[in-house]
Amino acid sequence: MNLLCDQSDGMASSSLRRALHLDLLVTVTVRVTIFLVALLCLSNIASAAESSGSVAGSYGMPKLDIGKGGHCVAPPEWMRINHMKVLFKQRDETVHQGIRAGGKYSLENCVECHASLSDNSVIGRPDSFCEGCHRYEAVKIDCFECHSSKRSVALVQEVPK
Amino acid sequence: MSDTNEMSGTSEQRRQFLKTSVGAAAVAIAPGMLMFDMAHGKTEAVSGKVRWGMLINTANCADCDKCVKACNKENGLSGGLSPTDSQWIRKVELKDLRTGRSLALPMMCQHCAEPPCVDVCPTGASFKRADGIVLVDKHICIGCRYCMMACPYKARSFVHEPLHDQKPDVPRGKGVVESCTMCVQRVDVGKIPACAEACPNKSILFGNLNDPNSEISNKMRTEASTQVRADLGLDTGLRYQGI
Amino acid sequence: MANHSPLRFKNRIFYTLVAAGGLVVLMGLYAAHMMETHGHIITGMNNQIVWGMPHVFAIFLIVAASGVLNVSSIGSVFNKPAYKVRAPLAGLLSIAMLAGGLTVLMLDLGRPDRIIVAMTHFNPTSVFAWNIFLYSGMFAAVALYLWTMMEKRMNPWSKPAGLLVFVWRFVLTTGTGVIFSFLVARQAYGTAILPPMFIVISFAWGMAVFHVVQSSIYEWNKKLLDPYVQKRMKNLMGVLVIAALYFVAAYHLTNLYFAKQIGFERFILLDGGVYPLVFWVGYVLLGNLLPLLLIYHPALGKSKSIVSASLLIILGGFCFLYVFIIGGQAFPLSIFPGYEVTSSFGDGAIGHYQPSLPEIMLGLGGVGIAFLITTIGIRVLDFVPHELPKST
Repeated sequence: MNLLCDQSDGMASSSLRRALHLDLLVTVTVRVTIFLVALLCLSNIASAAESSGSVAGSYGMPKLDIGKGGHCVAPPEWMRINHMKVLFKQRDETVHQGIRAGGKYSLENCVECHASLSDNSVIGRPDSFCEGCHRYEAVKIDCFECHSSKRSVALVQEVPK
Repeated sequence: MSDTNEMSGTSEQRRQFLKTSVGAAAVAIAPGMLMFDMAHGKTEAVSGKVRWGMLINTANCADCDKCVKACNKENGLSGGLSPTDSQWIRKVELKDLRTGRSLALPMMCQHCAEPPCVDVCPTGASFKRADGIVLVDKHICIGCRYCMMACPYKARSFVHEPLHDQKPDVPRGKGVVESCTMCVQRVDVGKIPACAEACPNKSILFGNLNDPNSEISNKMRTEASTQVRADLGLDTGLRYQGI
Repeated sequence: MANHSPLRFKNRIFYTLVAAGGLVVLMGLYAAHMMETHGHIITGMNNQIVWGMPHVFAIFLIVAASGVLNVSSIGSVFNKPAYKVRAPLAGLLSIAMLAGGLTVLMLDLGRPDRIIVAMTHFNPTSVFAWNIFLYSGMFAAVALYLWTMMEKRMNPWSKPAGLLVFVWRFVLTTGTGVIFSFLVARQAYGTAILPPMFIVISFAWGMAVFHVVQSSIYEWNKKLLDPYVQKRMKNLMGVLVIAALYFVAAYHLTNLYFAKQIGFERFILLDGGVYPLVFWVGYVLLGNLLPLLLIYHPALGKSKSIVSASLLIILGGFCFLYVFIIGGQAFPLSIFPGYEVTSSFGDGAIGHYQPSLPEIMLGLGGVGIAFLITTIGIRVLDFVPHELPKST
C-alpha cells in the first residue's frame, strides 16, 4: 500500500478511495433496496393468489359447493394440482389390475363426499364441485358422460324399486 | 423359592389365560379384517393364479329370464330390446334342426383365453385381465366397433346414445363398446356375478377354474361340458352342459 | 380478348367446383357433428350391422387411392413413358382419396375426440393399429414420390421412390384386405383370398377413377388425349376389371363348396332380398359386364364410352362393397351350428339395415374432400399431364 501510493497524489488518491467506497456503499444500498422491494411485491402477489379463495370473486375464482367437505384424502392445495394425475393412475390400476385400494382415490369416493348436499351432484350448477373450477378454467371434463355424477344415496332415493 | 414357584404357577395360569383370550379374539376379529378388505376391494393386483369361469347347465335352464333381469339391474342397463340397445346377456332358444330337441341357455361374453376381440382392438382397450376376465377399458376405447365384428358370440354392444343415471360402480357411456364384465365390481369384493346369484335353479355356477378343488373344477372333471364354437380354439372361460 | 374468355371460363368453373365441393364437405362435417352429439342412434347402424354406409364410402376411397397409383407404377417401375407423364396426377388423386376415406373413418368413430388415444396406444396384433402407420406412411411416401417427379433435380430418384410407393401400396391394400380376413367367425370373411382380391380390385377401381378425372380435366381444359394412349389405357382397365371379377368369382365358388357356407351364399346370391339384387344387377351387370362391353365392343370404345364405363365400374365398386360389408354382417353368426336359434339380440335372424341420411352425407363428405384436394391441387401445382409428342 505504502509502496503504491506516493506522496504526489496523496490527497487526491485518498479522497478517490473514499469516494469509491462511498460509491460502492450507495450502489449496494440501492441494489439491496430494489431487491427487497421486488421480494415484497412478489410475496404480495403470491399471497394474494393463494388467499383469493377467501377473497372470493376478487380474481373471479369460483366459490365451490364442496358437499360434505371435511377432511379430504389429501390437502386441498395438493389436490388442486394433482387430482388429475391421481385419477389417471387410479383408473388404470382399477381397470387393468383390479386394485380398488379401499376406494381412497376412486372417482366414486370423491363424488360421495363432494357432491352438493342440495342436488347430490358434482356437475350441473356453476358452483358444483367439479364444474365450478373446470368451467372457470375452461377445461372440459368428460368423466361424467360415463361415470355417475351423483352420490349413490341420491340414486337409491330417486329410483323406486 | 416357594414364592417363585407359586408365582410361576399363577403367572403360568395368567399366561395361559392371556394366550387363549388373545387367540379367541384373533379368531373373532380376523374374518372381520378379511371382510373389511373384501368389502373395500383388494389392495394388490389380480393375478393369473385365479381364472374365473362359469359352468352353465342348460338342462336346468328354465323358461325364465331372471339372469337377464338381474344383469340389467346390477349394471344399469335399460333392458330395452331394440337393435340399438345394449344386451350384455341374453336368453337363446335353440332347436336341433335334425332331431327337433329344444333347449334354452343364457349367452354372454365367453371370456376366452384367446379372445379375438383383444387381438383386433387398435388401442388395446379390449383386454384380458390377469384373472381371465375380458373387459373394455372405456377410457381408451375409440368406438371403432372392430371387436364387435370379431366376436364369434355377438357378445359386444355399442352404446348408440347418451346415457344418464349410470350405476356408480358401472360406468357406461355413449360411443364406446361394452359387454359382460362378469360383474368385476362384485367379483373384486368377493361376491359372485349377478346372473349366477339370480338363477333360481342354480344353473350358472361361478368359480375359479385354476383351483382344482373348487366346485366348478370338480364338476367339470366329472361331468361332460363343452365350449360354444369349440372349433375356433378360443379356450373359453364359460362352458355349457347339455348342448 | 380471345385469350381472356377461356381463362375467365376456367376461373368460373374452378370457383364453382370448389364451392360445390366445399358445400358437400360442409354437409359431411355437419353430419359428423350430429353423430357425435346425438350418438349413432341417428344412423342406420346398430348392434347387428355395426359398419354401414360410411365404411362403404371409406373403403372404396382407400382401395381406389391405392389402385390409382397403378398408373404411376406402370410409368416409374415398369418404364412406360405414356404412363409416366400421368404419374403426378395419379399421386395427387391417391393423396386426395386417402385423405377423404380416412376422414370418413375417423369421423364415424364412436369417440372421434379420442384420435390422439388411437395415435398413442397401439396393440401390435391389431390390423387397425398397423393401418395407422401404413396410411400415414403412404401419405409421406406419395408426397416424396411427387417431389422426386416434380423437382427436376430429384428426377433420378423418381424410380426408387416409385418402387417404394409400389411396395407400400401392396402392403397397404393387403392391410385393408386382412381387416376382414382376420375375422375368424364371420362366414362372409375369414378367408385368405381377400387380400389378393382387394389388390386386384384396387387396380380396377383406381384405373376407373383416374379415367374419370383425367377425362374431365381434359374436357374442361380443351386438351386432347392421344387416341393410341387412350386405347392402351382403356384396354388395361378392361383386363383389370376381368381380373377383379375373377377373384370375386373364385371367392364365391369356393364358398359354395363348403356345406357350412351354403346358407350364407344362398343369402348373398339368391334369396337375401336387396343383397342379391345389388350384387347381380349393381355389381356384376352394371359394374362389370356393361363396362366390358363399352370397352371392348369394336363400334364403341371412344371417349364417351370410356367415361361411362369408368363411372359404371365405380358404381359397381360401391355395390360390391355394400354387399360385402353390409350383407356380410346381415347374415347371422353361426354360434350353434346345427341348431335353429332365436333370441332377443338377433341371433339366427337376418340383420336389418336402412342407410340413413347422416351416414350418406358423411360418406359424400369424404368424396368431397378428395374432390377439393384434387381440384385445388391441379389448379395450384403442375399435376395435369404433359402429353408426349405423338412419335413416342
